[in-house]
Amino acid sequence: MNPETTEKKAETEVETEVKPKAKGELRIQKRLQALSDRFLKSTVSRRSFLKYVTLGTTTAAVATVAKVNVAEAFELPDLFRAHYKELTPEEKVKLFKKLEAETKKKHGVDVTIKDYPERKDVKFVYALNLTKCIGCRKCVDACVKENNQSRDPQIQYIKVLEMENGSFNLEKSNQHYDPETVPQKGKFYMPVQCQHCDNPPCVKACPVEATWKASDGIVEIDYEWCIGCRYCQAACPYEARHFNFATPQIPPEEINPNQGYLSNRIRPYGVVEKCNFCSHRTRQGLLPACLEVCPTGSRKFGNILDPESEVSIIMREKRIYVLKEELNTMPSFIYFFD
Amino acid sequence: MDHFKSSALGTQKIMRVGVLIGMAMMALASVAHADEPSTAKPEEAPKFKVIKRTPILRGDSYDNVYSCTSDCHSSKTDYNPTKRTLTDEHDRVTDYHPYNRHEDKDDYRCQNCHQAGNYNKLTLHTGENVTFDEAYKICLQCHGNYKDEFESGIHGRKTGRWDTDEPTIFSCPTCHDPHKPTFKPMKPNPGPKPLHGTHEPAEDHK
Repeated sequence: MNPETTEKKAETEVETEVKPKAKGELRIQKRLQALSDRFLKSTVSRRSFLKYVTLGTTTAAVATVAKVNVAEAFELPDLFRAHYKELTPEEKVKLFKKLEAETKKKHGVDVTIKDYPERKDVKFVYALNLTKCIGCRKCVDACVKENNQSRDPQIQYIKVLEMENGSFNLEKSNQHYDPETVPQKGKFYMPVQCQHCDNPPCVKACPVEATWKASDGIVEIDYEWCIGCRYCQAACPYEARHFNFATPQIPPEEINPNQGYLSNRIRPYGVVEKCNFCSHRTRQGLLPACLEVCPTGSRKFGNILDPESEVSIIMREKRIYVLKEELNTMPSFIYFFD
Repeated sequence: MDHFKSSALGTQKIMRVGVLIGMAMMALASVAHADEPSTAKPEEAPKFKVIKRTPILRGDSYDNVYSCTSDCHSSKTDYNPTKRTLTDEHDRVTDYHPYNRHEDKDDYRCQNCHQAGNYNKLTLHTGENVTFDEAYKICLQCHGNYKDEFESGIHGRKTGRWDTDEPTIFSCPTCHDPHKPTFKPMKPNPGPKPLHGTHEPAEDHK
């Protein structure tokens, strides 16, 4: 079979599916046109001819005979997706509907996916009282449930480190502690999660701008745009980023149906995720889930631009500790002492 | 010598006059200071909302949280109001806060906080009666060092919204048992799974 004809066939199939009205689809059409033009003009070498033939025939066979969507059958990502910042409101509505339907199909749960835009004149800061934290890991549990994190393979945004009193050696810390009761004598506990740096190394490392710093201080990830290269994970000095090595497994009854597109919707396979300050909650004025559940009241959250907010008062009046301050990441997450 | 004496007396006189003038000035200043509160506005209502405790305490029947009348005291007013060291029968209340903390035990009795005659209500030192909803006012009478932190939200738990002018905070007894206020140790949630069993913490890391 001639590779040119097969390619053209596939192309026409795609074209018949899309409606030419929407802006994004026009863009897709243009892109397809450019691709096919380039392909038609290029000469096929003897060496690669066989490759084209096999590729073309298999795709044609799968697409025509088996009548299944290739992307769905192999859980391939949508190759013609758009970046979050390029989406128009109409496209967002359409995309969210599509994602809701996918979630219903995969997990059997009705969910609502919404867009929570940045808050104006707000800079979120988190403060954590190291004197009060007892290391009960209630925040970890609440975070997993709120943010629909994968139970298997396990992903947890918050890591609670147990350290000896009088020391601050992260390498000697233990996150697998399991005593009968906490706090243990002579130990202190330090939960570590995404620090939402003002100078974020992860954002600099991303080759495709799938992660960025929002104006309200949250470092966001577009899961649709992430290519899963894990550069950001390597760049983060706080080990805050986690990679979905497999499709997230979550019991359907534990899925949180109130989802944000950039925050807690169920992640696809092969993307990086991390704490997002519960942006689907905090951007509508609520408090993060880990704060709500903390039994000791050691977690404080608020707007640092408001001089009367708790975090502002803490910044002014308390002793502050910034984790790995020497790296100049300038975290929006501070630790303080009584 | 005489000359020296007289001069010493002279300085004494001057000092006395100086002290008098100083006292007069202080009195004036205090009068001026005393005027200020009267002209100032009345104390502003607190800018926070404290979660009510009475619905949490046994629903509607919170009147029976403390029932000394059931076993020993015949009526709610049948008690001995005199200051004294509590006798053996009160063993189960003598390890209560603040009775167990202070050496001068005679000054600390149930009636310091609980309303005489009805232990299901509370009394402030001013004599004002409050319900369990305002129990934090009782705590802040002695623990005034926490007042600012509690009212600004730095000490204590918050719930609801961060962008409101009237935040909702939990009352002190939500976390601290009023009679045994030290925060209780608890069982931690299970930790993260070790990755394929290979990432167990090394012996010296434990």
